[in-house]
Amino acid sequence: MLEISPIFNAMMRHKSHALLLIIQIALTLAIVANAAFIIENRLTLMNRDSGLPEAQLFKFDVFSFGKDIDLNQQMELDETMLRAIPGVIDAVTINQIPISGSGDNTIFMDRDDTPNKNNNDKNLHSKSNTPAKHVHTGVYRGDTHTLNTLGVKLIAGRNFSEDEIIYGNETQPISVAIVSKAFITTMFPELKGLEQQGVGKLIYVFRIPIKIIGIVDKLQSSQVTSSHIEQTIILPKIQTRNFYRFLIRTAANQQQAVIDKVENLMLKLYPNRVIRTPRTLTYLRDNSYADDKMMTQLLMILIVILFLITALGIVGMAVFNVNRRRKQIGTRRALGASKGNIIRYFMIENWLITNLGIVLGIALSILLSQFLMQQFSLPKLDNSYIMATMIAIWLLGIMAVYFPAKKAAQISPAIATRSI
Amino acid sequence: MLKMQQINKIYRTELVETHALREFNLSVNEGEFVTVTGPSGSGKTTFLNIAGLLEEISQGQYFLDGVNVVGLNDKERSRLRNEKIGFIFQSFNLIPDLNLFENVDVPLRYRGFNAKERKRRIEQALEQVGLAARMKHLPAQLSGGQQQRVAIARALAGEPKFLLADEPTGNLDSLMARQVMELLKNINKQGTTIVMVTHDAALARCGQRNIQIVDGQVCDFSLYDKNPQASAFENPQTAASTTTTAASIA
Ligand SMILES: Nc1ncnc2c1ncn2[C@@H]1O[C@H](COP(=O)(O)OP(=O)(O)O)[C@@H](O)[C@H]1O
Ligand SMILES: [Mg+2]
Repeated sequence: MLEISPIFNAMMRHKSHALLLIIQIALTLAIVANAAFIIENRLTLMNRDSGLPEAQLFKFDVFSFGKDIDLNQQMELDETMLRAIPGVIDAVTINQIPISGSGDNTIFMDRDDTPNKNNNDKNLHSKSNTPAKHVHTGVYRGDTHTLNTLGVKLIAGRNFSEDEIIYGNETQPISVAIVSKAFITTMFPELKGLEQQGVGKLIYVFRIPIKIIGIVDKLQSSQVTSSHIEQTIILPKIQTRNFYRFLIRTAANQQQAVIDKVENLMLKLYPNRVIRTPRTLTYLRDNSYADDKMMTQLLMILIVILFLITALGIVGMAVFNVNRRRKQIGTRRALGASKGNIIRYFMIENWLITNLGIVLGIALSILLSQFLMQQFSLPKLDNSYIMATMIAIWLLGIMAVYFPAKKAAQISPAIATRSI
Repeated sequence: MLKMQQINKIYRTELVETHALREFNLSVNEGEFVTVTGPSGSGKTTFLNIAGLLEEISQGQYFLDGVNVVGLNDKERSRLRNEKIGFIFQSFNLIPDLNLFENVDVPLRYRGFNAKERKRRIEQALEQVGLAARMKHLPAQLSGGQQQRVAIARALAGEPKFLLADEPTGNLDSLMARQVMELLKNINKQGTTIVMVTHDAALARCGQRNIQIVDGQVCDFSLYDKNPQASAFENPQTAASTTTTAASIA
């Protein structure tokens, strides 16, 4: 026995009563679906694998002010000393730290497409009509210890050899590089699934050809907010500056011990310098993702608040309707309604209101999602989020209306004759 | 049709205990039109509520159309109410958010009739009270007399054996009251048993039998035809409730 049509008609004769709640449900659906989607996106970002043994890594900066040393030589001495500390697996001077938030980027190309006035042979390249592929790439510079210190896995090719490393005072151009697998798939999409075959390919930066000699499975850059985070390259170069940086890999349980003594050891080796900000990668990750974390937490709170307000709205509406209709409820009971019929009346009424809110809410969700896509270049809202939120609101509605409905069923039928 | 034996109904609140019906005995036969009179507070509405299964009894036996209603659960009582009893209230009790058609439909839906059957019954019932043309109107668009006729249509649509009316003309002027009474008489002629509470002695004579309730007991009952002066308590003031003293104190 469906009672939908008279309940709906009666509701429509009091549109204003239901309207606010309908709007509230619609807004809740729209906001919660989008917020949940954003949360899920952020969590996915935050939980991305950096490819690194993060718990084993920390970094510190060195600022040398003494003019009495050969920096190049000092960096070598530092490295040797650091690698000898008990608990240290490996150490390297490196220009940027993965997922730390800031570092070097450049664009690599799959061919040299700069017009060359001097050499007509370059027309060889312009035969192909498609423009050169440009790939945004996070750039690491380090020596033969870089791979081991980062703890990344070589899936093809080889590591640098010592003679390929170019030190600050040497002038020959870089000619070889190790890249991430994601770099290969982006630069050479035809090698998708066959990334190993990227070994030996040439890539170009500032018209300098560089040969890929090794490919690592995964290595994120420092820029956690960048969509190019997975595209990275390691160049065999150590820059000599009085400001430089070390990345140290230790056994995870030795990390704090090493951090505690690293400053003293460094200063003992050469005193005229400052050792700054030893930071674990765990710390850097938390720092880099702090905004995302806060955002997800705020959005979660928002979701809870919206659900609460909606539940209260539904309870309030139901209580209002029960009280407004006490006599009607008594009359219905006198005319043969069982307690179950009365409960069902309020459940159906609420279900109708919820559904109207949901229909409006679906439209609003899509609009809000489009707005967010345009304004904040978020991805398109997945329908499953609307579905899940819809189900949550349905359940919320059923739970919220149940107790007022039960109260309504307790109203004595005698009220039909007893009240005026 | 209706048989009450030694019924007691006691209302308990924190402070007082009101004996609304005491050792109440009454039988109503099928097809009768019984009017109930009595002073205010004497228990008329209580009797009607118990007869109509709106309230449970504290003690005693009640058979409705042969069914012992003591001990029935809510669902069974609701079903019995729906099938056997039609209610007419003093203040009409139409549902303001529903139009006339939907109002008459209410008990039929609880009965579980299909849409076609309901439509037939609704139209027929509204026809009978002369309001078929106004099916789509809301109760507020009708006069009091018309509203009460709709309420009667609603009570009749389920074809109950038993019509209970609590001061059905109490809120109507005399012309409208007469129309409603004519309607009830016709309904009774077609075989429906009617029990009507009224404080109007003239209306009380419309029935075949008048009973008077005083202090929760049937005081005197006589066939109106045999005893035209039967109404001993025409003036409520002379018959103020005296035994519900606890209530008076409170
Ligand atoms: N729900 C109730 N709680 C307590 N006392 C009640 C209740 N309903 C009725 N009474 C009392 O029962 C007595 C009979 O009431 P009622 O049947 O309404 O009288 P009548 O309809 O003859 O005026 C009155 O004293 C009234 O105050
Ligand atoms: Mg009364």
